[in-house]
Amino acid sequence: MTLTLWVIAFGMFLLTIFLAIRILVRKISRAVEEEYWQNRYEIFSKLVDEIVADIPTKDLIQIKKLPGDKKILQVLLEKKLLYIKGDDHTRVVDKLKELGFVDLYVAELNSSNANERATALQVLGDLRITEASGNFTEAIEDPDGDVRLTAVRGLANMVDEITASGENGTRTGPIIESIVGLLDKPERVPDRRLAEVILDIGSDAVPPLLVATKSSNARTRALAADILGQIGDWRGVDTLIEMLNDPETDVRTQAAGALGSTGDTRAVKPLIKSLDDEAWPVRARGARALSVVGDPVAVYPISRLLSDPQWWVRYNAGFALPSFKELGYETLEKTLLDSDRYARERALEVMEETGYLHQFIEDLASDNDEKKTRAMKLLIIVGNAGGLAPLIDATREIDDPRSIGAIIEIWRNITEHLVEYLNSESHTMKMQAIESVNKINYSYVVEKIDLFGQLDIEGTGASIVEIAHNIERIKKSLELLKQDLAVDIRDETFATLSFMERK
Amino acid sequence: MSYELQRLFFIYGVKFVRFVNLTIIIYFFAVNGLYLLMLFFSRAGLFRHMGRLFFSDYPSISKSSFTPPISVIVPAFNEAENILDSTESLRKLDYPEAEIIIVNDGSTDATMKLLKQAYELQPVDRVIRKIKEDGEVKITTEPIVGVYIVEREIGLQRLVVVDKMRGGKADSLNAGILVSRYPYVCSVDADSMLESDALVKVVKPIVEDPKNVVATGGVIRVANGCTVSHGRVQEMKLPRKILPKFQIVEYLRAFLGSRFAQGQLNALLIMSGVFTLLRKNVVVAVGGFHTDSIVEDMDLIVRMQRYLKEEDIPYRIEFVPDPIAWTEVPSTLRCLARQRIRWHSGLMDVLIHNRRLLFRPKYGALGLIGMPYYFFFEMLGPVFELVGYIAIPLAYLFGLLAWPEFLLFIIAAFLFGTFLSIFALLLEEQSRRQYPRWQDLLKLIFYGLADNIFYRPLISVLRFVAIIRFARGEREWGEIERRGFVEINRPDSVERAETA
Repeated sequence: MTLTLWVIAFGMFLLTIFLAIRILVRKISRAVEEEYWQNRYEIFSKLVDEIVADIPTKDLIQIKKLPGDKKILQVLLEKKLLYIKGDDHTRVVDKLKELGFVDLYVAELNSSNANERATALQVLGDLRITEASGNFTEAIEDPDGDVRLTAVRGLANMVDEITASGENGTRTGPIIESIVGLLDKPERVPDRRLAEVILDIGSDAVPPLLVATKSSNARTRALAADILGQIGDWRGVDTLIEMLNDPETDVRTQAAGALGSTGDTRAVKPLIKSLDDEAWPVRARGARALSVVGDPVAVYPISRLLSDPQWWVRYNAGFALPSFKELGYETLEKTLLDSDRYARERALEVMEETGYLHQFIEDLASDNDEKKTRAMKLLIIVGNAGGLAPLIDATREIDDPRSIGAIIEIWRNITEHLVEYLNSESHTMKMQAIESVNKINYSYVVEKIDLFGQLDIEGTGASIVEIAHNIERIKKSLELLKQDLAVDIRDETFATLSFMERK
Repeated sequence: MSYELQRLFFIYGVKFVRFVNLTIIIYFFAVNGLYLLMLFFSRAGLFRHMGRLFFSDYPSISKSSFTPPISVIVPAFNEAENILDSTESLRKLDYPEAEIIIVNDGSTDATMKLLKQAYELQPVDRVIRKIKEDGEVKITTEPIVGVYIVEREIGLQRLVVVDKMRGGKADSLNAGILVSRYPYVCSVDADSMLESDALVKVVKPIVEDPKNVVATGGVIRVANGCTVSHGRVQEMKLPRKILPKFQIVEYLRAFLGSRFAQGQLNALLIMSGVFTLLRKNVVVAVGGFHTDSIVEDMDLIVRMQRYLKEEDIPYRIEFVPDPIAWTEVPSTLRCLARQRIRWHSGLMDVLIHNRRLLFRPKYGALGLIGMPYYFFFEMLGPVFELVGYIAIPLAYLFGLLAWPEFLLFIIAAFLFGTFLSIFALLLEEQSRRQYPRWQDLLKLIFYGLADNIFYRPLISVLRFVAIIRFARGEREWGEIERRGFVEINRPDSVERAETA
């Protein structure tokens, strides 16, 4: 026992001291190393600058490559080389080849260490060394996932160079096909990361993507549709339209979204049909897609979705309608009279969010009678539909005497409706009315209306009396509701009345 | 008492003390051996991870349209000191699409006022979806008073502020989940700040394996003493107070050591609520955060894993060692005591509640590694440690332990613990190197040495108190007294403090 403890204590003592010294030594050596690497980096950086500046080869800074310089190239890549394009890039790469850097990394492609293989692939891919394309293709079958992904990224990066060089009769077609083909093998390369790579390849990837849309794997089909949409190539439209009939919801959803991204008018009819899809994500995405395509034929079908049972579909339908400008807003106005509460609410929300209502509040002060009447009519509908926030804002902000009468008229109308709703037999209507009473900050409205009274505008006095009368009626109606059998109505009523009393 | 009885009492007393001593010694070697094993395991994983940073290609994840959008939920109760810093750091996150949901949990200080003023919040009539399953409401919260938004601006993430009645952190997180729009939710504490690329790094395992990865988390670092400007840590400095310095060493040991190793074994039971990314549908399936749990983050992770195992759904929970979240740790003994008592009570609550997972092969690494580790070494650890602190000197006093053995054991115990702390520091120096200044590093080495003399016994005592309180049925939340981050280049800091 004693011996064991001795060994442990002494061993730990030595190890602790060793580690503490190691930390300090590492700190010192790192400081020295950093300075050295900074100097080396600056020399190499200068060389690159000179090559880009097209200084003749004989006048270039002379560099003698030292062991360990390999990692300089990684820093140089991240900081500089990735931003150099065209002929400058070719000249810099030629110089790096001459210095032996490229061979160093090519040799590392066969390393037993996965990190080294992946690093080499990253460097060679970033430098677009087409001679190594064969190694990249082989690396797609590497046992290490990161190596495979880096190989795919590298290959995609040098697709243009391979076409240009045409080395060994290489065409990019098979390379792109093999990259896109990996979509069906997410266990080899993570599909979302692969999708990024394919998207970077762009329209050259469309033909193999069209093949991928026929995959037996639903996830591959969905992802292929998504990428096709983001590429936005016309060649994908017909296939995407067909995909709207796919048995998988996710595929239909992605296809609908993708069709929107292409903006192709051929997609309008199929997309309108997708608004009746049994799956709500398809309906939601279809509405959005139609707003991007922008054909007015879609306005009515989209407006029907404002009363969809799914919140997200209503949200998207509302989001889509303003894209159709006047026609969309007219439809939203009509929806304010819809019998469906959710449709009315969403229509109001959109009109508020897009600032559409604000112009009508301004119109209340207009000299143009037609405008003023239209604004009044609309705002009364808005108030009745529960859109009190813009009216409260209007009451607070607008001091123009010409608009005061109109605002009072609107309030009078609203309060009448509230009384009507409070006395309704419908539980929902009562609750909605109580909520509305709570939303209106009465103290502010009454105070403001009082101010209007002081302005002594013709007819205003009568309106104030009417509103005051209405408020009293509201209070009486609420008093009656205190005895309501429904617990939530009773609780809300108590809260509302106490709120009104406090004010 | 008869002579015979005394003799028997003495014989069995001695046997008992010897048994206790032997148990303590075995326990000591087992726990430290395990820590050491985990550190070696972490070291290998950490080096492998750091070696892969060059080709990880984070920039493409941060720009890709295929990166899943995330709802970042920040519960805030009386966080006036920190709320603007953390909101600012979150809005500047380098991520393709995220929404930042600040949930004001009925704060009585200026938290809401500061947010309203700073961002000119506009109220919206947002539909709060009640998440239902088979007609049963899965997640409910205290009433939500209002929802406010600031639309996405160029280079900034969209901000949503939820104002609700007080219901606690778990309730606020649930409210955030109900308001959130995206398939992944990330819980972040309001007294924390994320590094700009933290979300991109923490989402990488999900991007690469969306089918299996259900939760990921990153490293938490101590922000006390650091210089903060515009929601970012600008300069790393050690705090002036002693307790936070000990906690730096402790956090390094916990995150770079044990947490990373457990993640690699898929046996993680704790993902710090300070910064965790979760798949929303799994969170909802288990009913969201439980408001009656005092460690809602651990409770959720265990319930999620239990659910996934019982439903036979393959999953992984990953710990990523380089996304960083900065947080303020307790700087006074009172706050530290409350925090640790709460943590340990919560740990016991969760472990006892889920005790039937112990050693059950059906629950895989969770039942065979995670649960036993937390049960025997984390939960019961303080009992063994304190009994050891008492029994071993007693054994020496009664002549049951020779002084060289006694002394050697004390020295070995101290050096073993110190070695582990210094090892964690070395890992830090070999990987992130967050503390560039010489004096800071030397101080940390000193605190790593002193850790086992002062800090660990203190924590053991606090955890032991937690065990006693838990046994007596006492539960309480500890609250950190917020001091706010040290500011530079911000003239409005004084004004803000006054407002707060």
